Amino acid sequence: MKTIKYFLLILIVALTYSKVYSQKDSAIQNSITISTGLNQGYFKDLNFSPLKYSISGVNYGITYSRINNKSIFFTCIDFNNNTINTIQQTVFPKSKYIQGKVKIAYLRKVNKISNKVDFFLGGQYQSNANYIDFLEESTSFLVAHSLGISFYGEFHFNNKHAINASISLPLFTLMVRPPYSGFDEELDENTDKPLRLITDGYFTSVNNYVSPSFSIQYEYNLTKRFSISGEYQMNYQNQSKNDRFITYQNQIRIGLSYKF
Amino acid sequence: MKNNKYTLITLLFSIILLNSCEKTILGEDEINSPENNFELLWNDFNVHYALFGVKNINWQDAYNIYRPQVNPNTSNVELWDITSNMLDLLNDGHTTLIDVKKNLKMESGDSLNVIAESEFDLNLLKTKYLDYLTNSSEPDISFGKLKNKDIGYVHLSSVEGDNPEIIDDIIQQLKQHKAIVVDIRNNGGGSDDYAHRVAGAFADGAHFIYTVQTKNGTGIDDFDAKTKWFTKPEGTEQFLKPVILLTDRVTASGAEIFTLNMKAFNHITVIGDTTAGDHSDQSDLRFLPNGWVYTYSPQLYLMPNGESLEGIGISPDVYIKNTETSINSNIDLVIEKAINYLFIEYNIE
Repeated sequence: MKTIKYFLLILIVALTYSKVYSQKDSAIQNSITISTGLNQGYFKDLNFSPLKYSISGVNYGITYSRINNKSIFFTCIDFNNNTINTIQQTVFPKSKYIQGKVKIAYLRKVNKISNKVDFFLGGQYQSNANYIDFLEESTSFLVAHSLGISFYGEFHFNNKHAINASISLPLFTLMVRPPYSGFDEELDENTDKPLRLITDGYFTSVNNYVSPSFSIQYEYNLTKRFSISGEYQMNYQNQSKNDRFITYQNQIRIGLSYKF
Repeated sequence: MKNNKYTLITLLFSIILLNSCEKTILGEDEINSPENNFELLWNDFNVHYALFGVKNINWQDAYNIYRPQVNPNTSNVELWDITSNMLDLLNDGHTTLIDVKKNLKMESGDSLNVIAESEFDLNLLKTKYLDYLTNSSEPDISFGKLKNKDIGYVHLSSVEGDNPEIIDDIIQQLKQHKAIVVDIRNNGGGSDDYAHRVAGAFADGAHFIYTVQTKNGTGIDDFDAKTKWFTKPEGTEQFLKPVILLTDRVTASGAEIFTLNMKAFNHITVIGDTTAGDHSDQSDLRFLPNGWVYTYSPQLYLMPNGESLEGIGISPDVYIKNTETSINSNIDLVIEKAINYLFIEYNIE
């Protein structure tokens, strides 16, 4: 209940400040970015294995954003194709670890320090899907559909260079995990109904699932329409109840944006 | 600008620091010691294995017997023997232990199966008892006709594949015969759904055949609600003339689910040996730090009368089994019994 109050409070503050600091100029800029990069990190899922694993893989992403002087609407789809390997043991063949992320965020401008710096705060919907597969003989998954808060700040050096950073924190989550024994008749019978499988969960909050993510991006405008970017992103997921699931990952990626 | 530089340097330093502290974030990895491998295995079974209750096994007693045999100097070979002996107490074909590196596998209660495997010979059937045996598009289903008899023959070496509906085509080709022998000897199982679908081609109606519960907590009696399973006629036409189902000790798992379906139908007689008694589905592979993997039974199947046949098996209507000697003498006592039974009971030959 406390979390809900804090969430609402933050949203109200964000919306109020956004009105105070909003400007009349509401020039809209749409942007589509495709990106790719490398993913590296660590992973442990007690439903899958008592062992720790290292992660390495490739990331692909597509992002659409719509920004004006008052707000940002932002949506992205990320896909990670990883392999995982035990850290101390080497006798197991590598396992697959597939991840997908869908994020939709709406943020309002909350402050204006100078013409070069903007801060935005708002709410977001985010789905994190994690699927682990050892030779089709052992599988595990975590799917989390979350509502949370998101912060975004950008600093424009000049017309060519900019740095932006974002932090997001899911607060309320529909959590989908394998059943206690790792096996379930319903799961087995509904493998052809993925939508049903990825929504068959329970509601939880930050006392069970913590998944902050942080990113910092450098953007260079090639022309008025095109820009390139380099980004570092940190993702952390920790589901603590029952079979603990924890992963910490770093991504470094490059992107190409088209603005219109 | 100087401040920005410091911010960037601090950020980069933080990233490198976070990357290097995997132990802080994930905790210590499991130690690869004989004692820890034993403890992990025993504990996982203790909280996940579904059949201690119905098999009347005290797992703590097993710990008291086998744990003292493991010490820091226990070799992997010795640990394999100790844990294999412990798991053998469960007499459960879905409980397995595999050494990935050495390609070793133990299956709990396997000794009877090994004997039964030598008591079935498909080549003997082909050469002595069948006019023909044709492969279907499913690799583990073949069909034919008994030599000089008006009796069809279907052989299922597993209940696994992509297209169980193929049985409908087979029934169409065999339906002119007065009876069919369905042979699931040496059938180690597969998918329950597949078994239900194939059996549906012989179904004479809906019969309540068993319930399933899955372990959902650490306690010995922690299970989810019972799911009832019924037989169901499948396909456009079912074969409702006399059918003989042949079973043996290696008829296991999904093949036993097939047997439970078939046994419920009035026109079907089961001839052969008692089945393996491995009804639960098998868990996913589980991992140990020393490179071994293992599986267990996470489910409890109960008959309509509440009885569990885990470790007991399904009794045939007519008991008979081959011996190695009979097979070596080119005699399949079981199929001969089936032929004789069809003649005596139904005057079919």
